[in-house]
Amino acid sequence: MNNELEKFIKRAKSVKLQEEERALMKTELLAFIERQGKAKQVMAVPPQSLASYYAKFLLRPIPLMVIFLLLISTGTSFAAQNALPGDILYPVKIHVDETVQSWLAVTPDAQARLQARLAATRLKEAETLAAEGKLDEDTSLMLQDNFANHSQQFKESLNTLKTNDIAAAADASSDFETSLMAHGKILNKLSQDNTKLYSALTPLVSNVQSNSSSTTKTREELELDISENSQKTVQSDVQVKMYESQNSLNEAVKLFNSSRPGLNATTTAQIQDYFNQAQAMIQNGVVQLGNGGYGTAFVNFANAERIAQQIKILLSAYKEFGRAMVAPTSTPANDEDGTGWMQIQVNDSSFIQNNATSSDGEKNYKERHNSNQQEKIRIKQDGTGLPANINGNDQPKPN
Amino acid sequence: MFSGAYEEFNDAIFRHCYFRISDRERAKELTQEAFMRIWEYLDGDRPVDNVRALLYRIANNLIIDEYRKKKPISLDALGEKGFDPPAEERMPLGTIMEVKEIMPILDTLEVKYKEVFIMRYIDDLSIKEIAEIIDEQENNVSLRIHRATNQIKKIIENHE
Repeated sequence: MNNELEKFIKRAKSVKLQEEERALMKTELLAFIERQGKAKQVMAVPPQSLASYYAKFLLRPIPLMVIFLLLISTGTSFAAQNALPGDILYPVKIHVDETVQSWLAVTPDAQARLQARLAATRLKEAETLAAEGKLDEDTSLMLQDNFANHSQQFKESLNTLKTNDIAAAADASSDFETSLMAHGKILNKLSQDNTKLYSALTPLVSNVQSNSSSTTKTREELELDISENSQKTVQSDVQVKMYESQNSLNEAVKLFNSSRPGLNATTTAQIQDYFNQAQAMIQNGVVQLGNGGYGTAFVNFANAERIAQQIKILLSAYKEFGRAMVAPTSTPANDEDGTGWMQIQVNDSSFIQNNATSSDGEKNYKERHNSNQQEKIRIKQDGTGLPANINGNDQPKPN
Repeated sequence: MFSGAYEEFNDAIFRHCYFRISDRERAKELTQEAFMRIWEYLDGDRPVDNVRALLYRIANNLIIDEYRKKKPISLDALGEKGFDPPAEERMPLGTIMEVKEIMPILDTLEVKYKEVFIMRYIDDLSIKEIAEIIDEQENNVSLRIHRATNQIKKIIENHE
């Protein structure tokens, strides 16, 4: 087989589900199995009869690990998937189900992503309880402790991952940062909507924002390293990142279009601005990739993906809780000076220079900070502050 | 067995569906559908010698049904409903090989060549397994793979 064909096949084989997609699909499959009624039958069987039920599977040549996993992961955990603090099966969820998941996450990347997902799960549990008006201070404290635990384990796994695969570490860090920013906004919004939850939610929100800031710092350091040292980034990694960012954006667009009837005009306009921004970053990244700027291309794709992921999380929360979460909050999670500006990092000075027009007098344009070749566009959360020609028709000028 | 099958094959089945129908969202749905069907099969106490081959056979049947429906979903269609993303600058072919260009290259193959190429080189299935999945003679499968490979090679060479 010739070299080019081998490369083609290798790239094709790198296409896969994202961790969240995989986890969501598994949850839906388990729900399907439960609806089939088998879970209830299994759960209704006295423990001493479980062995006879599983004996049917033991007649087939199955690896011991699969049998073990089957016994401990299917027996009682079907119904535990959606359990909340206070539910009878909640201990099964966190001590059985999640422990099994931890055993299966054998690489630093898988472990980091698992801990990030579990940290987000604690936050979603808090959100669900808060939306139902059932979150008390003790439960919030418990969730906060568990969240802090998972966040710490994420950091430890990330430290290991950084030494072997910096692109994967930047990716994992970026995803966690996005998740924390979005959940921080959701929890803050829930706290504002119900003042009775203020004392229960405020410490948790504060904890999330603190972790969000430190994750942002880690991610920025990693991306700076990537952008300054292109030899650390393989072309195929950047191509996959490009693909993932466009894909994420497409998914966010679909979700937005399905949510659109319920969103007000301000929120709709904000989201459209974010989409334009993300698409422009992807275009920039494509140009840089073509010119061999793998590091800066990676960072642009990562920025675009972060925007898309955050929109997806916020719109999903809107669908679940029936409240728009995208409107600017008084204390955004990624707001260094409390002015309401969302930080987006673009490592492409020519993009900023070529688009440095502010002919539109209604828009506050930009404030630039130059630091070690990093530049930040500070974009107001109400959608203003974008370059004047970024609203869809003009293309950003290439390097 | 089901749990193990899911953990081991979910990416592979998704990849297979995705390259066959060129639609990521629909590929995820078909992947889920394939695992639901294999659950039902396993739960019916029918003997299964090769879970992997059965999964691919189920996925293949779902894809054939999908072809018959001919329901493409694209961002163009979404643009009609609401948000119109800015027009993408078309990357000139031959500058670099991008993941996004894998799909158009595979799409140049006729369906019968594309399916065997994907199964052989991306799914790493044997000729025998492919023949069983698509219900063809092994000789025919080998011939199709050979033709598909030559065609893909020519396209890749022309892009250099």
